[in-house]
Amino acid sequence: MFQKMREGEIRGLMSVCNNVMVSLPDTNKVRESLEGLDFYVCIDFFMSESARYADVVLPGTAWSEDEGVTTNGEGRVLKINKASEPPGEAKPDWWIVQQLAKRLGREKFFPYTSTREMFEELREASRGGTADYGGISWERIERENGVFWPCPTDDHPGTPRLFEERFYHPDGRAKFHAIEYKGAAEKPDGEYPLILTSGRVVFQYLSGNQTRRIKFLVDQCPEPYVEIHPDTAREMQIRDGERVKVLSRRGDGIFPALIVKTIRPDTIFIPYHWGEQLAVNQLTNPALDPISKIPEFKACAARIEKIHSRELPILGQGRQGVSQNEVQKGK
Amino acid sequence: MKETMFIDPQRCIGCRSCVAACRECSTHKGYSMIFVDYIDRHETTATMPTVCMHCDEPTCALVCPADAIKKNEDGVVMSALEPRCLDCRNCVNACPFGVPKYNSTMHLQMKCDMCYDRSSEGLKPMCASVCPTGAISFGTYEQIVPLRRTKPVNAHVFGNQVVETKVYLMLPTDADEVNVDGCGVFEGRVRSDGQKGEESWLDTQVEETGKNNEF
Repeated sequence: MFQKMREGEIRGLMSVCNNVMVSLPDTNKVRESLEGLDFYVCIDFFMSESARYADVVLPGTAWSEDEGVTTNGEGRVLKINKASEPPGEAKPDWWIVQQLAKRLGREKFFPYTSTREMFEELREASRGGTADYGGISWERIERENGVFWPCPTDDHPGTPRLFEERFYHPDGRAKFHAIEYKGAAEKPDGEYPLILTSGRVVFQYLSGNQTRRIKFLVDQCPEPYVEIHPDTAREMQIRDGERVKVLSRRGDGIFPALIVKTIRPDTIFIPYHWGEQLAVNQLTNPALDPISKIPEFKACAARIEKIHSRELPILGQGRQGVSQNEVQKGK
Repeated sequence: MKETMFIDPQRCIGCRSCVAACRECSTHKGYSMIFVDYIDRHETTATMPTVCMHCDEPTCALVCPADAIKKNEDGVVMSALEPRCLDCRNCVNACPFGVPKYNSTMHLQMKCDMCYDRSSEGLKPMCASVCPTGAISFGTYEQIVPLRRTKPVNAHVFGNQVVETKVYLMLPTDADEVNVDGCGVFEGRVRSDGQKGEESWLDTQVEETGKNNEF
């Protein structure tokens, strides 16, 4: 999609709670895509790194300010209740979409007045399908502490464990698919000898747009770091906590080194929950898996360079003190 | 109350659900009374939860000059009584497990009290109610111990002081106690190269006064 934006095929974008400037690979290319759009509407409940590139930012609601259902990883349909009213002019995402449809003359396709009506439509639409919500009502969810789909009828108990009797194939059996290992699209070489993998830390959530605003969490993990094996660090004479530059063919960033034996000597790790100069996704490879279309966040080629402190970037307010001191010392 | 807590560091995955749950409780104003620490992040990703061990003879209470820390009839050591606490922080420095923390805005010592408001009514403490792996369990000895292959230990040897606690650590060990120094009898500081190092000021004081930590 972002490729097509750069090629000019896609001219407009409306995003809902999507902080692409943090969570998509190759941030520099994503920025180029957003800047080239004719019109970009961003719906989010906090100003995000991506929203800064939008022509219009519409304030949405947090999960606790709207009601509805969600289906979790174990297939349990849960009800989320409204705990507080949305502040200021914030509106539920569904209301924004519906109003857009109305003002564009497509109101007849969005006739809802409540989230409950939408859920009733989902029940009808999924009837007879694989994920059948037909027998699930808001009352049942409350009463039974969640209902597992598929649940086709009102008297069906739900399905806490799928495939106990048979799989969906005609013969009822599962199929194993042998897949030949091909490796990542970009492999380490002389110029970029390390494998860079990105991931999460327990203190931050997704693009960090919510958790980077909570002091308790920021105190425990204020910024991304690069995990390096002691053998690799020793070769480069990198000390624990020292800021180093990590580069790939797409971009670079400066991160403090965390020297740990829990990573392979040929691999480095950087968590992804931060934006701008702290985004590991400046480096990651946007190559897609041919089947699942998931980008290769977990493997690209990278190298580490030692830096002089005068090269340290001046970042956001929280970091300014440290960085400016370093600059003033003129190291 | 027959129930107590069983802390199994081997089972801890570092998810900090316990910390989040502890902070939700309104009785200590959003501060967590449980701590999850990396044991040594450079070597391993292993983590361990720390709650109050609820000592039989709580050092925090022994060193309190204002008698603000009380152990109740269930063996639970309570947070400092607000009208009595003098802000002296003796308990913070004295606790062998590093549990009590001093809250400078509230001028009060605060520590884990095994959610006494909950546990005295048969509810699990907040942390034990959310722990997904059983690293923190709440129940009777008879309920929990037969389910585990690890050994419940509640005697901790610090130098020549043995601290017995209401809370058990579940350990992969045959020993009946945890030796914090690793050598049982404290024979002066041992340097990492195995040579005997200089004795600390505190140890010399203890020997000279002959009072063995009880001063």
